[in-house]
Amino acid sequence: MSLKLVKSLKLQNDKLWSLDFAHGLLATGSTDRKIKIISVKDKDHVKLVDVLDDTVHKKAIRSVAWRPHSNLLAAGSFDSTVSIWSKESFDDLEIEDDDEETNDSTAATDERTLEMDLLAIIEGHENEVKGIAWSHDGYLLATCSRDKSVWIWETDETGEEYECVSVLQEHSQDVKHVVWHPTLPLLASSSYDDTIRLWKDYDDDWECAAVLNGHEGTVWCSDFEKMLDLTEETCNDRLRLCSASDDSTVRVWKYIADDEDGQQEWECEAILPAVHARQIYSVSWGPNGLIASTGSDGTLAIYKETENHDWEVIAKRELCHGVYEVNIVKWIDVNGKMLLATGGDDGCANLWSWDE
Amino acid sequence: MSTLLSEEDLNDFISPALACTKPTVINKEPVNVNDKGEYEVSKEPTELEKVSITLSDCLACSGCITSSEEIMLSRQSYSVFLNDWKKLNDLPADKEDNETVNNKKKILCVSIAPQCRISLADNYDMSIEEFDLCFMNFIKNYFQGKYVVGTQMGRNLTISRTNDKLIALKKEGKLDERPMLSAICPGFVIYTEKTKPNLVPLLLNVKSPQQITGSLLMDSLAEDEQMYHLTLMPCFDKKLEASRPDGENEVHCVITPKEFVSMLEELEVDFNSYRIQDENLFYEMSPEGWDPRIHWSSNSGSSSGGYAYQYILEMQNLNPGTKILEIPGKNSNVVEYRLIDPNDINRGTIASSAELSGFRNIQNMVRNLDRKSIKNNGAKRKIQVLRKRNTSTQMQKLSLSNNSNAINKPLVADPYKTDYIEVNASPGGCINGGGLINNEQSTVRKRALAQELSDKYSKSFNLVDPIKMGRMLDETSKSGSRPYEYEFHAVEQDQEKDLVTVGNTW
Repeated sequence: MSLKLVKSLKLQNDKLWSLDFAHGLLATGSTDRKIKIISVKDKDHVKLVDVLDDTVHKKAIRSVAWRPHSNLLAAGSFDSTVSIWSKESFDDLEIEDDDEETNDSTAATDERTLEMDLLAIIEGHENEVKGIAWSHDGYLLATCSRDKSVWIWETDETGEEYECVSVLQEHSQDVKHVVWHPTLPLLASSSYDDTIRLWKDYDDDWECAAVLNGHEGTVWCSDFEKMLDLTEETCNDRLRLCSASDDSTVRVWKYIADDEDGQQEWECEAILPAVHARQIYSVSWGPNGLIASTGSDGTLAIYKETENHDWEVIAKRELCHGVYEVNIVKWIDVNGKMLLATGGDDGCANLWSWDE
Repeated sequence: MSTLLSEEDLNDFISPALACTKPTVINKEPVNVNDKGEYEVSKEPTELEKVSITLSDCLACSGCITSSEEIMLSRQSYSVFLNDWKKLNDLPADKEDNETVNNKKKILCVSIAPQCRISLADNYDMSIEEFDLCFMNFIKNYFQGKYVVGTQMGRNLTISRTNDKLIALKKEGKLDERPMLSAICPGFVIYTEKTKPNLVPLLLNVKSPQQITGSLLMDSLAEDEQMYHLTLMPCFDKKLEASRPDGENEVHCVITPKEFVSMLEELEVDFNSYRIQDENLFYEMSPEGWDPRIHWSSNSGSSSGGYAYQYILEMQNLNPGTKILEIPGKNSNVVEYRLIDPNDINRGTIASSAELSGFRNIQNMVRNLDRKSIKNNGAKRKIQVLRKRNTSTQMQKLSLSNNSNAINKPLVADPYKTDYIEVNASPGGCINGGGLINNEQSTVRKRALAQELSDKYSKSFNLVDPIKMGRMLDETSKSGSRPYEYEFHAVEQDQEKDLVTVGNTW
């Protein structure tokens, strides 16, 4: 049970805040405003294929997300807007399978073979956009901001036009992160107000279905368990969420039932064993059932569930980005192999493998 | 927006901006430079002029006021009225004071919006008529108020003037590109003035019933009388509307039903003890020439005043044989009224108007109308009908029967292509105003009560023809010579908003 660094990509000249992986492409968001697209086939075939126009956003790119079932990328920025990028097809992408390992991708700016186009810019938030997330079907985009609100936008197949469907203002502070359930129309938002809120579509508008209280500090991130066969009817007992906080804990929350008013009842099922010394910035619940967490102390940890809904730490690696804080961790499926990707203040994206 | 007077659900309301919307203008004068252009070191530096921010600057921004302070503010503001009322009763004892204004007797006039009557009647478990009588009796006996009126006279003028302007604009073809937007919701007006200055020219400049009622009340006073106009309104932005410089002396104090109830609790008054059966009170408390059957009534259309609907009604009268289609929009807060000729499909849409409310819909609307803020490359594709929230039965009702191609093709509201949009900041309009009483805990129950009040609104009042009444009033009174218009001030935007705030680096 060891974590091994597979690849370290020095991509950005400043903090790397966010990354997302889909159809073999890793996208990164950074303070330096250059969104990079890197093709990752396996540890030996990693290549920079695009650097998006860094004049579109005026401030840091805080969050990037690939739209499911399409070739669209959304990026949320501190300049309060969200940009949408696209490429008609990724088929004409010729990625040479040269054996040359590209460690320093910043040098490869003349190898842009993808060339994604800017499709749209979405305005609405009053200040820094902190998080963006696509619903599983790709028709809804959730955005959250320091302006304390969560917005839900609707789009069509083309992804060019966006209409605001809901403006949700129930958090009392900066909203750091939003994430959709992998199959249900359910959104979770995490905030500086120490709570996580769950949002559901109540016929005419989205509303808060539940408030999860318990963390004793800012909640930075949350992630749903990847139960892909869940439906609204089979939710009970199998809908779970994990969260990461300033209070150095990772918690697992479980949905109990709906009450008579349509509100959801949740409980805190577990607090994972303590690993981190300081703020935990990111948490990811993999399809393999394992939870990964990372944060200010630079440690990457993997937890596994045991009987009785207890959890144990099965892997731990310190100083994953040297002395720098690590902002994000995600489980990514690279051609069938589950790897972990982390992004840190050193501007690097690191890929990790672990052997059970 | 100051509907945040409770810690409750604020979804879909315009929220206060986090930064002061008043652009900082620093008046720099060269300090310590004498006539010769030399710097004098020993002089004391002159003080920089203090930036002053008045209420009229703040108008619905409240960026610097946190939610909790606002809540406290609201709980205090009926105190403003109580203080003023105490002063009203202090007769000028100083004989040396020669100013004519002090020799005038101050008269308390109270007006109350219909949505407030519904809300308070529901709260005190009375019928509308029971409430109206009880309310008048209370104002008369507790506060020695002279007049208590409904706001329909003001609304009649707002509606007839709105139609006058729209019909003229329509004739000139000025409504073909973009619709005009109503200016009767101060929350929306102020939001537009402060954050969307490009859209200010689209505001249809006709004052709201609140302001016009104040003006009409002033007309009915005697020479030696001076009005103090207290009004009950459904939301807190009406307070800000009353303090606009262009509304001087029309309204002196605005309170909401929530505050009214708090006030009575503080005064330890049992509202029910003022119940009365005598209907003559309606006439006794009406100014001369004011028919209570008019000013206590309402008109058909939305619970916010029916402006969009009344426009279409008049257009229908001007085009005999036409039919009004009521087309639901993407959600329950958008609806379009479309005037068509059922016998001649080729005439197309003769006129149309829309009702649109709630922040999410206002967002989409301003984005659509303010073209400068949309940046995308390539041609704008027509949006496919996105997620329908309406039941299929509603949609089926709308199919046109004469055109075989159009059979069973559901119509979708297109508010941005209408002649006029009645915009309300509160989702669902004034009957869901932030100052109305809704003590339900869960969102589901809150919605149910809001719906109940809305249903009550449409059933509780006698209806008058506001267009006819408004025009008549213009012809027969001093009203005719007044413009009843606001002075809009579009605030120039700073492109770079460099906010020095905490917490914006993560």
